[in-house]
Amino acid sequence: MIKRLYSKILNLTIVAIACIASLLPYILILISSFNTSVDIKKGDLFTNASLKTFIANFNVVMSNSDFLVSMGNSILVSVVAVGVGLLFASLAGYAYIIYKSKRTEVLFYISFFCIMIPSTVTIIPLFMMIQKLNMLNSLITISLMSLSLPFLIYLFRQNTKLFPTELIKAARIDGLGEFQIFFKIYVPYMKSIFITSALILFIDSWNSFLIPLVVVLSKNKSTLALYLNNIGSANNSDYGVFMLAIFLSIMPVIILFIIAHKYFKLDTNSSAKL
Amino acid sequence: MSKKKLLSLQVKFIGASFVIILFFTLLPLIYSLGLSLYSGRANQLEFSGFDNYIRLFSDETVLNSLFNTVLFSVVLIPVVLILSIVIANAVNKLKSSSLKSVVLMIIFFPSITSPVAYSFFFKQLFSTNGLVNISLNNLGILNNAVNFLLTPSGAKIAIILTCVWAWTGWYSLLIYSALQNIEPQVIKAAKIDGASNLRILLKIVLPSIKPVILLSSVLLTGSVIQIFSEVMIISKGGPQGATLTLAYYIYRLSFEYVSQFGYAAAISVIILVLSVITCLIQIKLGEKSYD
Repeated sequence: MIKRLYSKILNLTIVAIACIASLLPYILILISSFNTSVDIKKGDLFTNASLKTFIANFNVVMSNSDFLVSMGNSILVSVVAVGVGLLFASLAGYAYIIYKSKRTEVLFYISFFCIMIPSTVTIIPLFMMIQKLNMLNSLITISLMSLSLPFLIYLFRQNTKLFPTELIKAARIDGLGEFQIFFKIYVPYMKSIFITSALILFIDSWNSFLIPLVVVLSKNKSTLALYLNNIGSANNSDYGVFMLAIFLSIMPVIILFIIAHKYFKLDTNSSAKL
Repeated sequence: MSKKKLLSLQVKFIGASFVIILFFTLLPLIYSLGLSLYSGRANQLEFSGFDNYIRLFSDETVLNSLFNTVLFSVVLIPVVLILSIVIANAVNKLKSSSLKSVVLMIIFFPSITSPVAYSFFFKQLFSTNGLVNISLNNLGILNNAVNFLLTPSGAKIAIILTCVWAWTGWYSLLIYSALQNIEPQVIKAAKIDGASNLRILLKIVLPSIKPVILLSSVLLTGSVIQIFSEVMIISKGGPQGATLTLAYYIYRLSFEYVSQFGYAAAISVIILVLSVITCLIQIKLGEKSYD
């Protein structure tokens, strides 16, 4: 009995430590934003923390046009990435099963192979290509480059295998067109895969750093990751304001994830099967 | 459905996505392979055959980056895996399912947080006036403030700890979902037979999640090969190249110095080969574990 109690306490301790360790950086970033730059650089986060300083920092961030522009750009980049990525990945993942033929199988295997190619490999030639095509310094380019289409197509294709084809046959008899079947029957049926993919697309594009670093040339096209990099690399930055900007840039993703996490399904068991 | 109609549907549904993949992944890949055969600075590239690859194997910076990658892997893989197994196992034993889902959500936060954001936090944490220094001084372990990021081993440890924080949650979740496949009866039976918790862990739990552990170590190797933001922000690859990775070296060659796109492309081919190898091992392991 006592042994069982010990093991229970040990378990709870491990879980508690894991949660605290995960959350601690967020908490410390938030506490830092209640401090002035001087206190943070002294390493003293607690004695002089005050709501007044927080409000002052908040006002500085919110009146900083670079921050607001970057925030707006990040939202735009991510929303476009989610829209374009969801549409194209789901259409393709659906068709690779429903309209399967030898041709499409070949295309699928080519696209599957692309999962293995890391972005560090393609970034230099891509840079040279988009430079020649005058597509540098464009938010749409960032969106399109951040799409992890091969992986998402694979995710949709795997889940389409479980989609009951009788629904399609019945709908065809009822006279629905192929696109109507896709949007009216398939999309609602696959809700959780759509939400999972939307989260992946949003998080990937929101957090992407290397791509905007290479693509963006002017301040008005900066994204949040670039903005943070610029401020953080400067020597004379106000650290209280900076930590608050970091906190504000992290939160949208965390909040979205908390809202949508019950739909979030990454079926790891089928991750390696074709 | 007629053949013609099928073809037209295939084009409509698959066409756009394939064009995007073609333009943003396949063409650059081929371009990269071609580019790696050219050398020169900025836009003055000349065909030079396999010179880049010959240069690469005698370039100390490349060898050093490879060494760092190996070192990071050797430390990070066991540390992240052991922590993940311990955490996943503890979460799995929780009785309340709502507590379980909250804990799983919280430990997943680091994997959805921007590397730029957390890297700046960790940079500040390990700096001369960061909390690590202050805590160690208060505990009497250190007698004066040290800038960890200016010592080779300190910078390495900072990068490793950052990655441990950022990655462990994801692997905990992966291993947790593998634990769901173990039959509870098996463990119950072992308990009735009087097996200790440690024995159950070693003899039943670990063997049945072995495939996922192997898969995780391959995935981790892939992540280590591609460490970029953390290194760029926390240490800039320094001091004296102590934390330089291949991905960051490619970036430097292309965008920080006078660009040597050809040579950078040759190094990226090395990354490609390494990551294709790890992916193929991953697929093989996956087939073995789920069939």
